[in-house]
Amino acid sequence: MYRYDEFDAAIVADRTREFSDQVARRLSGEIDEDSFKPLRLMNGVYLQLHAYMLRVAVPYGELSANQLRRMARIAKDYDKGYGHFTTRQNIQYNWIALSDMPKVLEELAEVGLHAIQTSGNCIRNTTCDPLAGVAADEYEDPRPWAELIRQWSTFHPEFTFLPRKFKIAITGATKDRAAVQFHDVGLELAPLPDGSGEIGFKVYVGGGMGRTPRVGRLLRDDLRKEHLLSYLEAILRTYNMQGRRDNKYKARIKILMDALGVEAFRAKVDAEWEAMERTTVDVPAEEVARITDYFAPLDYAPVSTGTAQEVADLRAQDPAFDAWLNANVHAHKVEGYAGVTISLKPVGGIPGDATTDEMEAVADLVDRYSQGILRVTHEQNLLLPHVRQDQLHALWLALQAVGLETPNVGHMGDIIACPGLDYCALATARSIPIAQEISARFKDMTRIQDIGPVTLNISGCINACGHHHAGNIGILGLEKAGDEAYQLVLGGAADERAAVAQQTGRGFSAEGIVDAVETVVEAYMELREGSETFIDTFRRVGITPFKEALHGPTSA
Amino acid sequence: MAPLRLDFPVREAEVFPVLGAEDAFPTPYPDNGVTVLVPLSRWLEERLGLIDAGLSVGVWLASDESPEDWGPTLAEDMARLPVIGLAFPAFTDGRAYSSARLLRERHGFGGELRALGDVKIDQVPLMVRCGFDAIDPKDTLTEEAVNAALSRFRHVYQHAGDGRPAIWAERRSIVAKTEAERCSTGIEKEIVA
Amino acid sequence: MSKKTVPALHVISANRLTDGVVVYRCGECTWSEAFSDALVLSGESLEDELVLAKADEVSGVVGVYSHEVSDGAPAHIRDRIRAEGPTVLYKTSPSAKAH
Repeated sequence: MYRYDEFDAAIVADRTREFSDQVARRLSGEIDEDSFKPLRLMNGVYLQLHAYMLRVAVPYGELSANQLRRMARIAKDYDKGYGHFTTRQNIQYNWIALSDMPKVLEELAEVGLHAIQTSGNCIRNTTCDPLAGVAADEYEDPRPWAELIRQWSTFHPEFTFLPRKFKIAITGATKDRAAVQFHDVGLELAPLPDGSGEIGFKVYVGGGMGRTPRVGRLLRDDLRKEHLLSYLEAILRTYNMQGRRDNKYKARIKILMDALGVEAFRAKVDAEWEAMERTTVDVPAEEVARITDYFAPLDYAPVSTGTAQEVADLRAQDPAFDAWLNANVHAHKVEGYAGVTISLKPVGGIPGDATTDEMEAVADLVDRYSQGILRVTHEQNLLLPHVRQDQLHALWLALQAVGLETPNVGHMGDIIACPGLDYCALATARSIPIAQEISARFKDMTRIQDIGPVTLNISGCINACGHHHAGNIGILGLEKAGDEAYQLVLGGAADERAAVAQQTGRGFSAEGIVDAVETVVEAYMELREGSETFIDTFRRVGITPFKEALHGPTSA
Repeated sequence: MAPLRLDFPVREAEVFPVLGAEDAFPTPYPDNGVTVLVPLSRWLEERLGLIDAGLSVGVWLASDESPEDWGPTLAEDMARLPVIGLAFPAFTDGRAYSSARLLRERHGFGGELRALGDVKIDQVPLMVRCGFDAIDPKDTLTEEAVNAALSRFRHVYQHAGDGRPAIWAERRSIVAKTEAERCSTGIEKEIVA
Repeated sequence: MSKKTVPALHVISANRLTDGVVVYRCGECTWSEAFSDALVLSGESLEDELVLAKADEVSGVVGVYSHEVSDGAPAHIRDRIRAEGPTVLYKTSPSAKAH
């Protein structure tokens, strides 16, 4: 993985000093909250219902075991002993004092972590496929490009006060595990259309969640890799100058694209790109090579040929191990290896939360079984990318010992939920208790295996941080006459067949929504043919049968 | 009004009155030698008259204006104008950072580029990077604070409008320096960055 | 029945600047972490106290506002959660500094 050199370290240290200074000026009253707020947001500090919240960046989701240990220590020393992993691969702390933030940031900086640009109207953390570099279906590893984007976008002086936040995601495989089409800019490494076999970028622009969900539109499918940064600069400059500044809810780039249309928008970006002096924006090939070296494939000691049979035997003997393999273990490009997801969604638990002890236990497992590297997924789980198949059983037993073996990844129990009204100042309803209730209803692991792969997302307000628009089953928490009320949407998808979920009609109470989810699942089980997953069936039959199951037959 | 030139160290700058579209020129004018800033629309309308009268005039752009709005006299004006002001009605309105870079880097403006309005101390380093060399902030900023802000960041990640090397260029020059020294002396030397 | 003429009862709340903890305006221009200590106000005395309270936004508290109370509790669920903490039992580590 990328390691800071003295330049990276100096930049983060200088930023930490700058923020320390800003905090001191705020605490003394020298600057007021209106002036301080944009500054603290650019350093990842929110003020939530009960306390400040610090959002620490995990650049493109990749972490070392030692970094995870430091995160665990911060939770213990400055917080209430836990952290929360987010839908953008970051970690959030809910209880850190503002007066402690400078110290916390210093301690994070010691291991190359920071909270730079995790909020504010600037370019946020670029997210990535959690199987980057190891996925069996990968064309090219997106991580070097994610690292180049990180460096280009950090403290970019021209793009520090954009109309609104700006989110970029990048993937390099045939399956999209980074939801790139729901980002302001989505990048996909794929063969160029000229038939040369060379890899370039497909560029999607204008995807997003929130009040006006959109699937990104393909701006071009032929961007040469060496032009990535200059093309991003052209997009950002166009957005900075032309994005709306009069209305916070109409300020994202997706709204600008709606207004101009794809063709006109592309013409503007291309004109800017043509006029740009690009030699100082696009980094030289030797720098690309230097960064790429950090992500060179690890030493994969060969695994004995008998391993596959051993695993097959073990899983035949133990249905619980079999269930875990089915849900939590993923194909790897290197023979004899696997990617393993640790579910942070225990039955009845708070999705994405991990205690200090759990983080430390995972760090030890990462050192032992994954060459010291792990990833954070945008489904709020953790992923070990370098596991030997002959150690899968041992890893599973070790996870059981610390209660982290829940075999529900990508299934009904793997609920993605924002913190909601229990924590968040923006929320209109609670999301966590709904997640817990649904999780409890679907606690039977055999049942969720039978139901098969499905995504379930819960957002506690219209800002959609739970990504409910992209859920096969999505829940949006609102307020109605002083009470929490929940809307159900169906048929969203966050992968390469991206789709915005559709409304099902009138909303539900907190009790009603959990029953509604069961109703929908049962309807799917009735309707499915062959090995169709939930989304397969939805795509075949449409929303009407589900609406009828929920609300009765629609009138003729 | 306490304008500053963003040299290092910073120093007091001349006051340039910022006029609206209808404002009269301050008297006595032009004998007092003051340079005034007029809005772009007024410059474009009254340009020949102002030039013929030999008045010292600069132009300021509102945040919703950009070099694209300038028209056919842009190139000539870049060479002619002593100062261009770019407005920040609220410090969160970041459009002028782009306009500044375009004026400096695309259109070759060599005169003074002055940030006007809601300029906070933390934006000054960003402004310098985008090509500004003066500020006229609505809230007074001390020279001491501005100097401290400008010397805060030892390195920058990316190229912008101020000529500072991007981090990858800095790394490359360190490597080149090491190589050169090794070649010239035949001994490997450690370069402490 | 007669129309309600009694104005709604309010308390004034904010977050403490140093640590973000929820605080309530009590007597003698102080703030307390306990909802039960909060001054219950309405009408003009509410407006007057809000003005005084906002003076503490310089370096004491952030986001001074008032919210309705009824039957001795916050009227709205959001304010109830602010007063009582998250409604869900988050798992912590016993070794953590602040439970």
